[in-house]
Amino acid sequence: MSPPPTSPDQAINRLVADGYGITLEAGHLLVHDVPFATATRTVERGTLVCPLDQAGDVVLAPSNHVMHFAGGRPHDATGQALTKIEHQTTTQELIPGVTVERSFSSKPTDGGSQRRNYRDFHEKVTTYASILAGPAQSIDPQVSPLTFRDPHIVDSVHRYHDTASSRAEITALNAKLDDERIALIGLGGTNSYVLDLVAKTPVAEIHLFDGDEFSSHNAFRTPGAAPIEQLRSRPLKTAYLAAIYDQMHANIIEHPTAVTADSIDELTGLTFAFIAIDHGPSRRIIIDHLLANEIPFIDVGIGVHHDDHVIRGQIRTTLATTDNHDHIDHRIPCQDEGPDDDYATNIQLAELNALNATLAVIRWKQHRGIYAIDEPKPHHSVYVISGNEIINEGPAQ
Amino acid sequence: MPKAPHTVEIIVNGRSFPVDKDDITFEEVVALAFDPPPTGDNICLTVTYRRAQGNKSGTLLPGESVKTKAGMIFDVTATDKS
Repeated sequence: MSPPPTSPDQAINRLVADGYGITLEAGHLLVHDVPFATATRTVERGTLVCPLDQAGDVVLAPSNHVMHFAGGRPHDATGQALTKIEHQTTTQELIPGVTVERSFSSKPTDGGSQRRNYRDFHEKVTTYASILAGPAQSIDPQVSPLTFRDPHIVDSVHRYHDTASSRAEITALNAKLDDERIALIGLGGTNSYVLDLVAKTPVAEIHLFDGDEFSSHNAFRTPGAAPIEQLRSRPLKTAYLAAIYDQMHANIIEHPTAVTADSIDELTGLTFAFIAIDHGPSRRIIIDHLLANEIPFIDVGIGVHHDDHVIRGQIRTTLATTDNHDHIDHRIPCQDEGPDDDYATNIQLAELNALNATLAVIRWKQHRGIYAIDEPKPHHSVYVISGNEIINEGPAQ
Repeated sequence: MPKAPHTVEIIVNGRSFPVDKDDITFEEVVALAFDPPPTGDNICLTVTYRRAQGNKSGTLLPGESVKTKAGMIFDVTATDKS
């Protein structure tokens, strides 16, 4: 009678119980100290690395059969390279501090010629470990991948691993953001979409600044669909949004006040700000404080009017840094009232807030070296709705 | 010999206006967009143009001007809502 099937979720526990030295970090599984044979019939050790497939914290079956390796080129017991499993030789830093130089590809069979996928990560790891360790053991019978060291689980700001990044091999690239302490100044439509996107990055902290309540009209310009019971309870915007995104990012800090001269010091120590507020004079106080404290920021704004039976307008995204901020006086509105306040009601639409937020987040990630940006780097961009065109302005050449 | 100015139709915030000058300034575009034009020290409007000479697009700051061309399109708004 065959043993009952074990669920893929138990794979990591079984590997630890077997004695493999495991680390779980940033959506990756690492298996340390795997012995392999070199070309000169000596034994060295390396690390197997592959992205995990997960649903929340539950480990699923592997979605592919590729395995990365760091530590050298493995051979068989006679000194021949294991060409049958060699896949690619690309050096890449999968996680900060973990650089692999090659990958293997081998699909299991059940004895016949028919290849299948790995049932779980236990089978995937033990298969590759034995392909590498077998030749090593014929050279030195004492060696084994079973080192019985304690498993190591690396903490993350996220409540479950970002396996989207690990599968795409951009974990190390995204880790450039893990020192950021972000301020979202204003939690209206645009910054609620910014929060939605920034919460999915590994920034160290996200600080929310807004003193207003979350009402029905806000629900129609915020990601997701607010439950009616939540609206009835009249939560503050900071509380409503923090509760949602805390499910994913563990370091969301609420500041349930507008940023004014009295509360401006709460911005000190932060590393980047997204300013999305309606009140011009407050903007001036905030911008002066950010520049004085060398905190770069992006200011956004939508200007839309409704006449001739159609809506037209513009969406602005302005970046300011310590060495490039001369443009902001003419780009960022700091007046008390704009002409649109006389001529039109405050029209905002969810898709415009979302587009403004998306453009702002992309520009921030370009500033942090995650997305490419051509010279001369624009510090100001305007999306014109009726032209479906983005117009960029940068420093004078 | 300088070219004689001719009248071209330009579009500002979706409305067509005849212009008989070779250049138009930020302030003149704002005056076409808003009647009466806004006053105050720190009025800050986002002015963009498209389909200018050479099919170029760009922005205008206070005091700047751009060559007029038939069919060029201006958008003028205060981009301060979020």
